[in-house]
Amino acid sequence: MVMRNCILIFGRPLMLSTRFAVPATAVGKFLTERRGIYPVPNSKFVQRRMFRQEATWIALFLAFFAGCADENAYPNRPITLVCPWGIGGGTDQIARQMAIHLEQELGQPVNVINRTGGQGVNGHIRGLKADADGYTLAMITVELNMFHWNRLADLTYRDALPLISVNEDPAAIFVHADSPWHTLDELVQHIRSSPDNKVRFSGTSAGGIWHLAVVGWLQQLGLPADSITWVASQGAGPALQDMLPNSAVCCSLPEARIPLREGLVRCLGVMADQRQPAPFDQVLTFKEQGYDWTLYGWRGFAFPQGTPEAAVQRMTEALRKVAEGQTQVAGETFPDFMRTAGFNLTVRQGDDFGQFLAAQDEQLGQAIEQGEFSEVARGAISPMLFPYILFGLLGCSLLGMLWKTFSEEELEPRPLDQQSSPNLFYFMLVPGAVAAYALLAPTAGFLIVTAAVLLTLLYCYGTRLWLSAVIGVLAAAVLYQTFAHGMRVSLPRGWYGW
Amino acid sequence: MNEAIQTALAETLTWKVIGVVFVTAAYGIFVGAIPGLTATMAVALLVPFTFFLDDVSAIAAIVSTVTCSIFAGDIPGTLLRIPGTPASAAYALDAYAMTQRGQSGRALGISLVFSVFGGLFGVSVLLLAAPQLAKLDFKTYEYFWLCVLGLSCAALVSRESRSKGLFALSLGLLISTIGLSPDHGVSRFDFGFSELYGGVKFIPAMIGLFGISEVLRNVLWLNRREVQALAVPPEQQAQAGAVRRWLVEPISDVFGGVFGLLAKRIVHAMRSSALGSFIGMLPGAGADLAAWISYAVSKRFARRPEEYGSGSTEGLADATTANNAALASAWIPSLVFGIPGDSVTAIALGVLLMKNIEPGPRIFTDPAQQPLVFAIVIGFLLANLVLLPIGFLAIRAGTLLVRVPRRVLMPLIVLFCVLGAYSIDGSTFDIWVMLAMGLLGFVLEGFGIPLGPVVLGIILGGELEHRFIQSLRTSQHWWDFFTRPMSMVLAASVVLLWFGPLLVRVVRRLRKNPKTI
Repeated sequence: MVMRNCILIFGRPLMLSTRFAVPATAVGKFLTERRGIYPVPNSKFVQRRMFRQEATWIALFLAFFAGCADENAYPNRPITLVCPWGIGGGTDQIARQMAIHLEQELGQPVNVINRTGGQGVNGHIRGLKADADGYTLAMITVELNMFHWNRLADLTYRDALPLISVNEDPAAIFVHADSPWHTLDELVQHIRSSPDNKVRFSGTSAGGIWHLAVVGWLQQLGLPADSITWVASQGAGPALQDMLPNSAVCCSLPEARIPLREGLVRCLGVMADQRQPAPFDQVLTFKEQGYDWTLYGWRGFAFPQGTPEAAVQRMTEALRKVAEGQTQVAGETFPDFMRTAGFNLTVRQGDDFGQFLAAQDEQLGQAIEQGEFSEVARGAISPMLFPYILFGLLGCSLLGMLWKTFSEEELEPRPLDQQSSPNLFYFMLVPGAVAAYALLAPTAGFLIVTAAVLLTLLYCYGTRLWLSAVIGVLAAAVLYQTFAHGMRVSLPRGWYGW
Repeated sequence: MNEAIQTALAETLTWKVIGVVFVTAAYGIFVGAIPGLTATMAVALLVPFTFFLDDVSAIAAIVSTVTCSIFAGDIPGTLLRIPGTPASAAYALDAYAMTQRGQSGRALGISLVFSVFGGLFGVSVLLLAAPQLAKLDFKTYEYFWLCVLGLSCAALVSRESRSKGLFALSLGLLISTIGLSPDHGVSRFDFGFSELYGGVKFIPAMIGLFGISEVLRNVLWLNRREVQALAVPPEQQAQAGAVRRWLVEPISDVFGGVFGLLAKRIVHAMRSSALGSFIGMLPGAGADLAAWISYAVSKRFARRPEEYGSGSTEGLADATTANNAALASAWIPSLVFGIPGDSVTAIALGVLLMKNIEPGPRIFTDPAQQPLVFAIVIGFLLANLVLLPIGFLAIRAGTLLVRVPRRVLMPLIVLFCVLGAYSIDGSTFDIWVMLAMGLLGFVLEGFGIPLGPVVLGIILGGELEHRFIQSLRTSQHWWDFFTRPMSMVLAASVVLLWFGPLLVRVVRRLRKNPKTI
């Protein structure tokens, strides 16, 4: 709506003053003429000037109301769902499906943003340390219980108000189809008897949940954490791809669905309480083979602590409906999706979920604290090896550059672009503007800060004030509509929600 | 199989799908062409929309966006020296030099036509050779050497000395070590910022290094009193008739002589496409590496290598061909193994998975999956053909940009850079990262240190270290790094690349004065 009004307002003066097909060079001159060098003033021109000033104010006024929040019941504006893992991965798929169903149920857009990095730390912090107003929903995964044990962050399950968990995938151990092990017993036998020929395990990064699954199990058997070698991988896919006959992979069953189906790998056991549903119902559990060890990766949703009760109630209600299959998108319910994608749909709500979190926190803590897991996770190769090599290269290149400077080879003089002297004020404006944006945008909102920053920069660099204001406001409004509404990118929210 | 092709054709060549291709092509070019927004962003932002499309349309949308936004990354690279993708950084200097000579239309025309050529070649490779190529025996040692080779190419093709190239590369690799290392579970160099656990994201880094530093360089020398457009606009004959002005001249400005160039350099173009297809096919390599390696190879075989870096049409043509050829073949590891070939394909793969396409070795032979796979191939063909007219329109719009005065353009670029950096993750920390990299880029350029290797180092540092550590852990002896045949070839190439000229000089000196032996 803002755009249409702007076009109506600006269209008329433009049509009066210039023809549409104006060569661009004239536009350039027009934009930067100094005051006082106008063509001969006439009444039509004065009318255009007044139009411009009126137009400026009207545009500002309209932009002000472009995104005013409606103060009705929760939810009355879009909700952000923070996913701590990358696009396309298992967690992301579940998050996006949930978002679509929630949108139907709540009647407000639910935007998924991926905040990756740090084995999930970034996303969990972003979700759980956000404003507790009910408009940021955090997707939490099993890694939440590992951060504080691994000393990555101070975040624990107590920082979350658990709403519902929708997925529990137990860990499983896979070996190459040509490997000599057919049961867990044979694998354990090999590990115990060949300390010099350690089995190479893979499946995730070092210190990740599947690594912990294997180590925790071995510790329960009395074996030290370094009785296997962990080779880090970027997820289960590449690990399964790179497998050799004497290596193993630990990951969840859905992640290995295709190699398992193709007969490229064999599953020795799954760390679950019961057999898993088809197509994994032939896989023996650890318990059935005599090893009382279970470990589940899980995914769920939570609010930050301190979220108002009304929001908590409404969201819990909505999540429950979706998980029970009461909503449909394109004819498919959420449980349908989980089934076809191969994820294990296990629902725990509220308090049940909270108790599960506490219990698992303890279990993982025990596994991590014993046997100096973090040191083992680091591996035999120092993390500083690669950086030291790079520092060495950096030093060599510096020496090489210094050599070149003092050797007989001539340096080409760098030609200056302009004849004028450098303008430090102009130079400092750019970092200043960016810094101002970074500092003010979350507080004051995208539209205001964008327009203000643009206005300042344009004016300082020589454009006339009214034109700077017009370009600033117009650009801000257009960008806001395109990105926030058109492409549903999250833009900084401020005092007014825009 | 013929049935599958027919089904795929029938499903793809509908008005709806063609319409989707056109719309997403325009969208891809729009997002890819704005300095500060990148091709990866274009695809990432499209993902939510694909949920509402049927399978074939969603695939066509993704494929079309990818193809067109990778080309669109050349537009700000050519006009403003701010590349839209890391691959464009390989030839941004040459293209920008041509803009400064008033040949921006020609540079972009070359970019467009050769991109389409490379894209079509890459699609043919995808269609004809994918299942065979997927069986290529590349293990961790080969990946390691390939990474080293690609990074070395980037470091050594610049006009500056090798030491500066090495410095830039080392710096980029060091920056990539910031954050959690997947091989160690330990966070390095994060200075206490939890936002750095995931490392420096490459989009804010690239936007800052190229975009903000270019803006800084421009405003430092900005002169209020003059109307300074960015470059000399192409000459226009003011007296010509309307048809000539609006139809013939624009087309000749962009395409004039380009098809002739293609015909003359068809062998080079095919070599570059083949190189691009091969490199793009290896997971983790992709279009980024392909462009740099092709540029380096092109310089090696060029008649006038000193022109590279200051407006060489040959370098530009070869690199941009490889760039787009790698695009299509980057889908091979995605489809056959489920492992993405590059950053853009990683996102596209996620969409495919959600549309229930199951990657696997049988994806080309499984009758249930075949129509979708062929739909991807046809989608690529369509996208490359659509790219010609829409790309042309984008180029025309872009050349208008060249006439806008700097003082208006620079603030807008700053805004787009900030928006691009923020939109990746909704994080203001990324804006600071971008600013820091901008200042760093400005300082580096002041010393004549090339920026391309820095960006490539940031992007590939993680992969390089991972392969290095993996190779170390997998190997029994140090010579395992060299004993496999492909490893030997790649390692030898790396050594030749770095020490070639030195060796040549030593040999020459020995020949002249045999007594010094």
